[in-house]
Amino acid sequence: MKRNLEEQKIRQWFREARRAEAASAPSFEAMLAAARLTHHRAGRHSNRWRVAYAAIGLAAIAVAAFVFFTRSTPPLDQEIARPLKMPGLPPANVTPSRPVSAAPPALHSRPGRAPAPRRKSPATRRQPDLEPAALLSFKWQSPTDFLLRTPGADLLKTVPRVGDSLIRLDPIHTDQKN
Amino acid sequence: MDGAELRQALEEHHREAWGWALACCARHPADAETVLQTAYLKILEGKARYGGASSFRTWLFAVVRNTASDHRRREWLNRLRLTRHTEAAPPEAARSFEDDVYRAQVQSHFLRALAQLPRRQQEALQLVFYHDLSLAEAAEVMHISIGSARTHYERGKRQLRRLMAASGVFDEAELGRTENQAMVP
Repeated sequence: MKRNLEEQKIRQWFREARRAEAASAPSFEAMLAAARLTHHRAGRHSNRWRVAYAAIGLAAIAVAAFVFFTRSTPPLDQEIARPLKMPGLPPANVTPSRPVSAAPPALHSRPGRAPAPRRKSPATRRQPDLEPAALLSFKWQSPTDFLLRTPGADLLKTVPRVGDSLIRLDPIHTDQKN
Repeated sequence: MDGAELRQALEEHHREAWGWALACCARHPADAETVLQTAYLKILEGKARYGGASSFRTWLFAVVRNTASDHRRREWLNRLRLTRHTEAAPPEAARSFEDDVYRAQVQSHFLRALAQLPRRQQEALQLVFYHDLSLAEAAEVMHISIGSARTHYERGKRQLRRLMAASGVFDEAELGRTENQAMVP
């Protein structure tokens, strides 16, 4: 009984609220028209923002690509052309496998005249000028390499054959008088 | 349902949908209008489709409720950027010369008490008492189980009764009597 009365009271309050709010409800047509207008404006506004974001993204990609490619490492030819310098050591014995070509032609030389002697800077006087091609097969040898040569090292590099003797004997000349 | 049928069904349920949108937006008419407009567009553009598993009204109320939830979330994000928005008290019942002053005062107290309830309890009471839905239908709209809906419903009724009694308008001791006339100016 009490529960029913309680629910009746609550229902009455809600009915009052419903009556008041239904009276203030906007018409369906007006609401639909306002919704379509708002949606159209919001769509144009969002399209502008989408275009702006896309433009910013493309610009960022273009800048990143530009920075990446301009800072890339120099080509291999430029790396080889630099003279080799070993700090703290005397000049190394250079044994290029290819013959060194003739001296490069002097730049800015006038026709009919002998080329002017090239002036070398102190840093480059010790080291011979080598063409970049010669450096491709460059084999560097240490100046103290002879200390590492041990007697009998040939045995490690050759394959012994049957009949060969490891003892070296000087030939005896038979025409010598006793 | 094709476009014309959908539009006709929406127009039939428009007043009920308006009342429900008000309840979902703490009875702020501007927010309720925005939410209802968005819900109508969603339905007419096909973003929300009626599958026929439940009644059209139940499905419509669920769409309005979800739209109101999205709107609240967006408003909360906007508030982080703009000045802090203070929750306004629900509007008092309109008082005209024809209206009974006493009934308007009771309505005002009732709406304030309703606003103090937790959201789920408000929704359960609104769906059952305002829109005359069953508890099963209310549970479907709220996306909860029937047991949870019943719990929110019972707790909401109890709390609402206490708040109305505390306001002095409603005499809890004897429910058979009318409201306490002495508290009304």
